Amino acid sequence: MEVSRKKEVIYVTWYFIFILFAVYPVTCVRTKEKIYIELETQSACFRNLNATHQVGCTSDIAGNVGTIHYIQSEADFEWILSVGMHSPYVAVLNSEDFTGDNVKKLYKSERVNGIMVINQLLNTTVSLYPQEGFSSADICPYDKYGMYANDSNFANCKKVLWNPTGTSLYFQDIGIPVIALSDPTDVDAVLNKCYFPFNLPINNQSRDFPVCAAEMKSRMDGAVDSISCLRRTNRIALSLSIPQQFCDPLGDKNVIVTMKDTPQNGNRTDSSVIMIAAKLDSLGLFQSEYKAADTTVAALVTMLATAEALWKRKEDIRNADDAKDIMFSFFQGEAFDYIGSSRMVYEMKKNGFPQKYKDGSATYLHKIELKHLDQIVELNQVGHRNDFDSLWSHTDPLSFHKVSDKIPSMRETMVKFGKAVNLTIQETDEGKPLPPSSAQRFLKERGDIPVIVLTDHRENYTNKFYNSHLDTAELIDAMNYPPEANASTKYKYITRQAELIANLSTTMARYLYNASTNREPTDEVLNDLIADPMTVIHIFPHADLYTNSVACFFLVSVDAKQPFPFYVSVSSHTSEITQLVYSLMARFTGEKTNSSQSSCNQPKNDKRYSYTWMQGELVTNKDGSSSREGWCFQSLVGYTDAVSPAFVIDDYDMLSGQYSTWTESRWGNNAIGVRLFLIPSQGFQASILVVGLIMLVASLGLVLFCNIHSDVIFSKRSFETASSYSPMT
Amino acid sequence: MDLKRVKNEEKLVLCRKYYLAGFFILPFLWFINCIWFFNEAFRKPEYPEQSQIRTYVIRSLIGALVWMTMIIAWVAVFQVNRVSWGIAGEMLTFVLPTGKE
Repeated sequence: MEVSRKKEVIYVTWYFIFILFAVYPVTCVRTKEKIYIELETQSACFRNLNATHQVGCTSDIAGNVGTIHYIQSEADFEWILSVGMHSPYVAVLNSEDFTGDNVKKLYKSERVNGIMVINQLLNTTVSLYPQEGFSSADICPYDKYGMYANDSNFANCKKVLWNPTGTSLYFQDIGIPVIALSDPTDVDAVLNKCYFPFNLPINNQSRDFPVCAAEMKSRMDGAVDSISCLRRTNRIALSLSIPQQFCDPLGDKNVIVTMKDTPQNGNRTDSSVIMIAAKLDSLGLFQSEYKAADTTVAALVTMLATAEALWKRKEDIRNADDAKDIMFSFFQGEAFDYIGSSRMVYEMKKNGFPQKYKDGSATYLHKIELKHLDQIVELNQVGHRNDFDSLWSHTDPLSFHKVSDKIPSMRETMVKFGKAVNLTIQETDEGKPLPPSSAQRFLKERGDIPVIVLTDHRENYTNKFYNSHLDTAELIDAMNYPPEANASTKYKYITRQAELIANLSTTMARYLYNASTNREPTDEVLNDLIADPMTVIHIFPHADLYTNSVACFFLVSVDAKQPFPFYVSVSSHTSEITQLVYSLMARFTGEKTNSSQSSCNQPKNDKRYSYTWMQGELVTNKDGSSSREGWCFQSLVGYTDAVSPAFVIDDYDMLSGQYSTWTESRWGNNAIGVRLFLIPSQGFQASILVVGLIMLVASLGLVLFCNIHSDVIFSKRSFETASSYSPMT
Repeated sequence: MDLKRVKNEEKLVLCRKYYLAGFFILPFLWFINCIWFFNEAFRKPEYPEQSQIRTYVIRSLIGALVWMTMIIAWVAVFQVNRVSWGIAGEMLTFVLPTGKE
C-alpha cells in the first residue's frame, strides 16, 4: 500500500515536470521582445517653459497608447477624428501633411493620443515639404522682446508680417507626444509591419482585432512655467534621495573675436568698434532635427569665410591707430527671445565685456561698452535669394533721423563692393521696420547706433521653412551636385550656394576693411580680400579644414551628433556648433605657435589671447605610419556667457518681460521611446486572464500536493530504504 | 511580547504606559494598544485589573479614531487643494509630482 502510494506520487510529479517542459520550449527570447517592436527614433518633441507657459509635448507617465492610423487622404482625418472604431489613435502623417492646421486639428481631439511624422521621402509622389510652408515659430517672431514691442506703429508686425508660414507650433502646449520618424527601418516597422497588415480599413470598415498600436513615451518632468519649476528645483527639501530637478535655464556661449588686441589701459574712443553679427542657433519641433540651413548656417558660414578673408589684411588695421576695431559676434539662443544678444548688451552696460578683470596684474582686453559701437552689420537669413539673387539691407525707421548721416554711405559702400562680385544689395522701402534681429536688442538700449541687417527677403521671409526641421540645405541649392558626382568630386564641387556665400563674404570683408580704415582699398588689398568658396564648402563635417581645426576629443563627442544640433540647449553644456565656430575662428584669425599640447595655455600675465589646440594636418611619418601634427593657435577668440540675464540678476522679476525666461524641462533616462505592439480583442484578453487564474490555482494545487508528499518527493534515501523507515509515518 | 506569559498586574502597567504615551502625539500607540489588549479587555474571563484595562483600551480606541478622522480629513483637503494653494501647497509637499502642477 505504502509503496504504491509513493509510486503514484512520483508518477504525478514527473507528469507535472513533463507538462512544464512541453509548454515552455527551451528558447531564450524575452517575452518583452516577442511582444514589442522598439523604434530607434529619439527625435521627439519635448517641453520648454517660460515665465508664464509650458510649451511642447509630453506623454502620460506610462506613455500614450493609440491605434496606428496612417493619414493619406482627407478621409483618413475623418476616420481618426470621428469614424474609426479603435480610438484613441496615433496619427502617422507624411511630412507634406504635417502642417500647422492639421497638427492642431489632431492634437486638440480627444481621440488622438500621439502624432508621428515621416521625416523622409518614401516615394516620388509625395514631397517632403508642405506646399504652404511650415515654420514652427510665430508669424511675428520674438516681437515682444524686440525693440518695437511697445511701439504703436510697428508692434505685432503691423507694417510687415515677417513669417507668414509661422504655425507657432513650437510655442503651444501640445500635451501629447509628437515624434519624427527619420530612420527608414522605423518607417518600415510602422507602415509595413503594423499599419498595412493589421489596421488598414477594408471596405471602409474598421479591422477586427488584433489591431496594431503604438505606445509613445516622452514624459517631461518640468511643468507649469519657469518660475514654478525653477522654484521647485531650487527648493531645499528633506529628502533621502538626490534632490529632484525639474528644469534648467537655456543658454550657451557667444563666440566673439576682435581685430585689435587693445589692452585695458590702451585707448578706445567712442564709436570705434564695428560689429558684424550672426546667430548660432535655431529651433525646430524635434530633438536632433535642426537643419537650419537658411535660418542660421548660411549667415554663419558667411561670417567665417569673411573672417578668413579679412584677416589676410589684419596688419593694415592693427597697425593703423585711427582704424576702427572690428568685432565678430556669434550669438547663441537668439531663437528663444534673444538670449545671447540681450546678455551681451547687459554685460556691456555692466562694464564686464568682453572680459572680466579678475586679476589686477594681468593684461586684459579693453572694455567694450555700448558707446564704443560704431555700427552693427547683421547677417540674418541669406540663403533664399529669390528676387534676382538680390539681398536686402534693412534699417530701423525709429532711429533713422539720428543716424541719417551714416546709413546712406554705409549702404552705398556695401552696394559698391557687392556690385564688383555680381552681388546685388537693394534697399528696403523707407519706413519699414527691422526684421527680427539681434541688433534690435542693442538699439533698444542705445538708439543711435547705425544698423544694417542684411537678409534674403524684402518683406516677409522668402524661406517658407524658417526655424523648422525642413529648413534643409537642398532648398538653398547647397547640395546641387551634378548627378554623376561621386564622393571625391562632391568634396571639391562648388555648389551654387557656396558661390553666393563666397561672394557675400568677399563683399563683407571689403566693406569691413573700408569701414575700419576709412580708406579706399587698393587693388592689391581687393585681391587679398576674396573669400575662398573652398572654405565655404569645407567648413562642415568630414572636410579636412574641419577635421584639422578641432581637438581630437571634440571629434569623438560630435561624431554621434550629426548633423549638428542647432538648438541652444541648457546652459551647463557648450554645444558642438559653438565649439566648432570657436575653433574655426581661432584657425582663421589666429597664428600658429610652436607650443606643444601641454604648453598650449594662456600665460598668467596676458589674458587677452586664447590658445586653442587642434589636432592639425595628417602627416605621414618616416616609417609609413600617419599621425596628426598638432597645432596651437593663438587668437583673440573668446567665449562670453549666453545665459539670459533673467537668471543672473538677483530678484529679477520674471514677469517683467525684459529678458528671456526660457527653460527646458528635464526628462528621465528612459523617458523617450516608441514601441509597437498588437492589441487583442476584449474576449481574448479576458480568456488570457482566465487561463492565468487557472494556472495560478493549478500551481497552488501543485505546491500543496508537493508539500503534503514532500517526504516522498524530496527523500534522500532510495525508494526501498525510504519505505523501510520513515519517521513521518 | 507574548501576553500569555505576563502577569495581570504587569499587563495593566503596560496598557497604561501605552495609553499615556499616546498623548505625546503618538496616535499609533493608541491604535496598537487597542488591538493588543482587545482580547484582554473584552474576551478574557474576568480578573481584577480587567476593568481598568478596558477603560484604557476604549479611550485609546476613541483617541485613535479621532486622530484617524483628522488625518484622513487633512489628506483629503490637502490633495484636493494642493495646487490651488500655490507656493504654500508646494512647501507642504514632501515629494513633488513630476510633469504636472
